[in-house]
Amino acid sequence: MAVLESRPELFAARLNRLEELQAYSLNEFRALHRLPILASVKSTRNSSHPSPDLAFTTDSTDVGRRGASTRATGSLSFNQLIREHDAKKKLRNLRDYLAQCARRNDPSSITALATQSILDYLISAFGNFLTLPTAGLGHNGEIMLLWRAGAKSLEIEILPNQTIEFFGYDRDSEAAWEQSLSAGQAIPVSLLDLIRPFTTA
Amino acid sequence: MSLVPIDGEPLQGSCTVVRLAKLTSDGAVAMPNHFELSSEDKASKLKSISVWEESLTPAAVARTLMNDTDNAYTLGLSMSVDAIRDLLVVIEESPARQVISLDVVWDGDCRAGAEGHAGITGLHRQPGHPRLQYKMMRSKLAAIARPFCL
Repeated sequence: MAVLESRPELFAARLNRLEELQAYSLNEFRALHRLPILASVKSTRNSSHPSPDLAFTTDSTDVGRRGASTRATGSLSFNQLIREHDAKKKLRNLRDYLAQCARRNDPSSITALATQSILDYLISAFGNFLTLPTAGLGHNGEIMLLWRAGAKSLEIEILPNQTIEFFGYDRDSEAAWEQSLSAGQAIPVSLLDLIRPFTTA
Repeated sequence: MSLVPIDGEPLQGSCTVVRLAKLTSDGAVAMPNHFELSSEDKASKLKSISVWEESLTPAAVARTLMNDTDNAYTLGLSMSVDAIRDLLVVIEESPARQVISLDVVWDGDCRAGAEGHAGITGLHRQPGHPRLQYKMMRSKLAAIARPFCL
């Protein structure tokens, strides 16, 4: 099982620096979508999937701590070490990418930080089980988080007007669903269930 | 079908076109939002997404023509015209069953080196058409695109 990077102090420092660059505060965005961040969960390697119904807090620095708390105390197999290394690298790339977007203001620091906020929420909810997505910029100032598993895909698109669009698709069966949340609408916990196919649980 | 660019005429199926986009967090990966119409695309006559026929305008030249001084568009997404035309999405919800399909047509650009400018039509959502099917189509496009770094 891959263990995610745990450097909350560095992330918090980076976030604070970025927040200085903008008038819009990240907490405002979180409040807008009532985006909850799970409190640090005392899970162990043998624990079952963390329930999304756990108590919420708005402490963003909790993100990543669970990774440390779930780190194996015993020796890991070679494959586990490789997976852990890959997950760390991917998470670092994702965070660097979004931080770079925010620094360049491309598409906009607000959208980049909002995407980071959603990513952190999902990491809080799923911990090590979350398969990390690919983030990409579009031509209209939106950022997409994309998960692919064979013919199945899940897209979370954060638009410059703070709308969040979810889209799931199975190209084999042509089954698709979508949900759009405008600014002010909370992210339903039920949406987390739709992300479960893209976890390793 | 035309290999010689005539504005609005379809390209030959054997042609290959390249869409320029921005690199992702994982480098060269084709993503569905790379196939969203930009505001300029929506305002254009063809309402198509901008692509370049690679034998007439190689991707590196296309990037220069886009005046990409920030080095933002360093991802190329290569697709065969035949493969693009093979993509279909059916709209069941509308009063009568409809099919969304795509075409690739020349989109005249008189600048030197820009002869290969073309557009993928069919991605602009028609009034009354559900958004879902257009998302399915751009997802299919991302699946057939071969990404490369510029």
